Amino acid sequence: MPTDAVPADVVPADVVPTDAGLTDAVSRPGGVLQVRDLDVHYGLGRRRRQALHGVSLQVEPGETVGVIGETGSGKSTFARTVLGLVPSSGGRIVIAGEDVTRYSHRQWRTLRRRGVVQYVFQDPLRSLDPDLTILESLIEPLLLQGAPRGGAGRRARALLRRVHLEEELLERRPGELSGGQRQRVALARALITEPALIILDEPVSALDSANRVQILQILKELRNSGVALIFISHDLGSVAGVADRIAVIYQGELVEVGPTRDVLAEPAHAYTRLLIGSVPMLRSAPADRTERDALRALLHA
Amino acid sequence: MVRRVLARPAGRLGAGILILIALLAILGPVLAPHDPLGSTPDPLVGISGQHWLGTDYLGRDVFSRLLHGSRESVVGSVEVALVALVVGVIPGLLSVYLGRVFEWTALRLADTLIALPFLVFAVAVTALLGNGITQAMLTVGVLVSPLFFRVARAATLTVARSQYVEYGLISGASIGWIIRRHVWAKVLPPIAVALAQTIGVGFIIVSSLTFLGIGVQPPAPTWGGLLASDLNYLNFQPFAPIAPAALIMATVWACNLLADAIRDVSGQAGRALTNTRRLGARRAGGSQPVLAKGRS
Amino acid sequence: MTTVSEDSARRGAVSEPVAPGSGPPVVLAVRDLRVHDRVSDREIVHGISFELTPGKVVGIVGESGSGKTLTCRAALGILPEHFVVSGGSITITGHDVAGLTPAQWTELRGSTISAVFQDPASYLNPSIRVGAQIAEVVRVKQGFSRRVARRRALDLLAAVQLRNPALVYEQYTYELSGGMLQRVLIAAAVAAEPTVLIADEATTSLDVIVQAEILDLLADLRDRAGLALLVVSHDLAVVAQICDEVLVMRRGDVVEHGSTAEVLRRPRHEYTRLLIAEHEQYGLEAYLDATTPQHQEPNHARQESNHAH
Repeated sequence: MPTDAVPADVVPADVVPTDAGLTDAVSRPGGVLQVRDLDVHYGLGRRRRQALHGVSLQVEPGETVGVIGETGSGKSTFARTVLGLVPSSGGRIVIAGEDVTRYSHRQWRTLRRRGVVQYVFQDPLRSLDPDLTILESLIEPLLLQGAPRGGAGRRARALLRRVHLEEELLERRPGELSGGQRQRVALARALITEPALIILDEPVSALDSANRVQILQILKELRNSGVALIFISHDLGSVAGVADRIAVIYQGELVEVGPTRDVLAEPAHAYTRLLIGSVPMLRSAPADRTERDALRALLHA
Repeated sequence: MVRRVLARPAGRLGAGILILIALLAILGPVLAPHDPLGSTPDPLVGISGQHWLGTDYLGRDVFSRLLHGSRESVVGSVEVALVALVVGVIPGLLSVYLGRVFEWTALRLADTLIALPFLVFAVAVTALLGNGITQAMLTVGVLVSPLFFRVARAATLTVARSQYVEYGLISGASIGWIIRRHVWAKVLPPIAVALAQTIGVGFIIVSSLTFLGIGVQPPAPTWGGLLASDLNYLNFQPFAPIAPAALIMATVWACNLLADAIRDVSGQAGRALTNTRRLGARRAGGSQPVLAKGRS
Repeated sequence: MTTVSEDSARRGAVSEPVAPGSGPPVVLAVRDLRVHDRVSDREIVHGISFELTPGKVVGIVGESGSGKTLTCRAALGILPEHFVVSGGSITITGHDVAGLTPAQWTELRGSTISAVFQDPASYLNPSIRVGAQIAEVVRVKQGFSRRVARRRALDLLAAVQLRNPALVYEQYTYELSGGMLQRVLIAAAVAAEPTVLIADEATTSLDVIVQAEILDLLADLRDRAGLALLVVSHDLAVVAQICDEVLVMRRGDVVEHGSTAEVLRRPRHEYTRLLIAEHEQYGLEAYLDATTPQHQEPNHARQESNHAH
């Protein structure tokens, strides 16, 4: 059962969004992202499936929410719907005070160009154009906002430093960088428009230990700068260290939401308990075999 | 990209030969020392001071005939290539964006055209519409267009479904922006390669048709026609076919050289799309090998 | 199994005969193994040594490029074309593999030493039903008739804890999830009752819950059949959960080697410390160590009690 109740003062759809900057958007009631009773279907006719069912979630400015779920649970669909890439079939999405549920392509484009919400893909190699230099990839969001090249270039340099990369990488192409470096570039690119919210879909799954630690460290540092993060993963381990709150998605439904410590210490739903019990850990054993089998049986009932 | 292509020796050679041929086509008739249709009383004379490549069975200067004939062949093959390009590329690009009905229709049309044999059709068209090389080449152009359709479609599809394009959309890019910034550079190289190859093919088709006597009224000179008539008189002049054959070969070879050079200098994505020597190209480029997704 | 002692004697290689009554038989012995890359003319694995006895689980932790997969491949005789064993020895149930012919290797694989890898779907033929593929292994390795092989394949599918073996038998790879496919491959791997099973990143592409199930399954096989396991992973926790002994590899060197408890409690190399720190700082360790009562029994103690038989 979701422990988050969406507050009654959700901004009504007929409020006209202003072109106010980041700070204004962030200070509106309803936080940075508000999702209410979201339903998403895909497929046609007989093949129509429901990917998400009644999902409600609110993300406050500056907080990091970890969204956990297994493959096929709907967690990636959630991200894509919030970004406007997938149409919803029910419910409501409000981004920084703007109700985007019924937005047209043009309205989405205008909103996106404000750079309020950004995204980091799982596979940095595929999310960067292999024929463009790192500089070109980095400044694309700014160019879309209409920023001049000179200013955009300067910002790119500053951000590169922030993710601990050397400036000379700007002239290289993605194929010449390592996986960890590429992911940091993707992160810098997501930061370049000073977004209020960044959604990261499995940002460290494809990386090795050293790089993973580096990225997680950068994400931890980001929390202090006021950016809200939605960290989607199937790996509870990497999320736990960074997230303020955890939301668990199981078969298209949000089955548990709450502060990290509470969810991990006293998981309410059987799936969460099974999840926690399955994570391999160094010193303590995961849950007992029999306990896990019992939980699995409970879930399949 | 043009600069990079010319930087490669293959590119320079190919382009050089083609420019020469183009010049021949334009200036040929002007440079010809003799009237190509005028017979002289010295048939089948070998290479001499007066006739650089000798004369044919009617005493006409071979060199002059070649020069005049070049225009025919060049124009014909360029016609084929351009028609194929226009008829193929635009539907190819659009088939990705205009919805399933258009896509399905375009694909089935392309499939049908591929099944039809061009020489036969070219002959049929000239039979219907009269003996002119242009009609024949336009037909062949349409029949060759599925190549461009497929190439343009495949290139666009790969790019359109990619994550960096999706990222562009997330950042607020319009379709036009995406095409300009991401798609164009990746679609052009395979099309350029197809173009170069098609010009080569077009040359062979023109030569074949004119060899068969189709598409041009004798006694107008064409390379293929020259080749044909030369073959009748091999007993007397065994070296005669070499000149037109060599010209045809050189032109087609130059086209292929150019196509190779374009393919080699294409960006990483372009290279992958033109589907060649992947490992070799990456190592030569000096870039770090891409880490595989797995962790072994 | 063909004896290769004549070959070994001729080559002067060390052959370790099984000495009766001298402790549990060593089923896989790797001694100072070195692997050399002919293309780049470099040594990739700089000497790794460990021993497996029935029921023992040894783990190798390392990133891509550490040499862990080459070690596995050497033990299976499937090193890629330009890699060669340039030093040390590998002994499988007492026989040095150095002089083995391809035919002898084929004999050995499946019935003595077997393996499962990452990305299970790519190891199965997508156009043949999976049951038939397991039955094929049974027929080839154990010479049974079709009907008996089918029976045996169904038994194997049940043994790997698939809920509906008869249904899975008839399915194609695209109809099965990653976890189910990995079970199918484990079934195929143990079909001929090998003594040693190598799991090279076998759970890496699986979700965490499915991973736990597969690790449980491997532990089961160890308990029931006395299988010796070599578990390779980039995740120290996965290895720590199931292994008695751990080796940590980095760029071809073994930087740490000891019992699981020892390696976790007193890591000697800074790379090991980094791996441990990653879990402690960014993993569940921080949250669950103190709070929940269900996680009080340390991992290694459980394994010691398992070996009390």
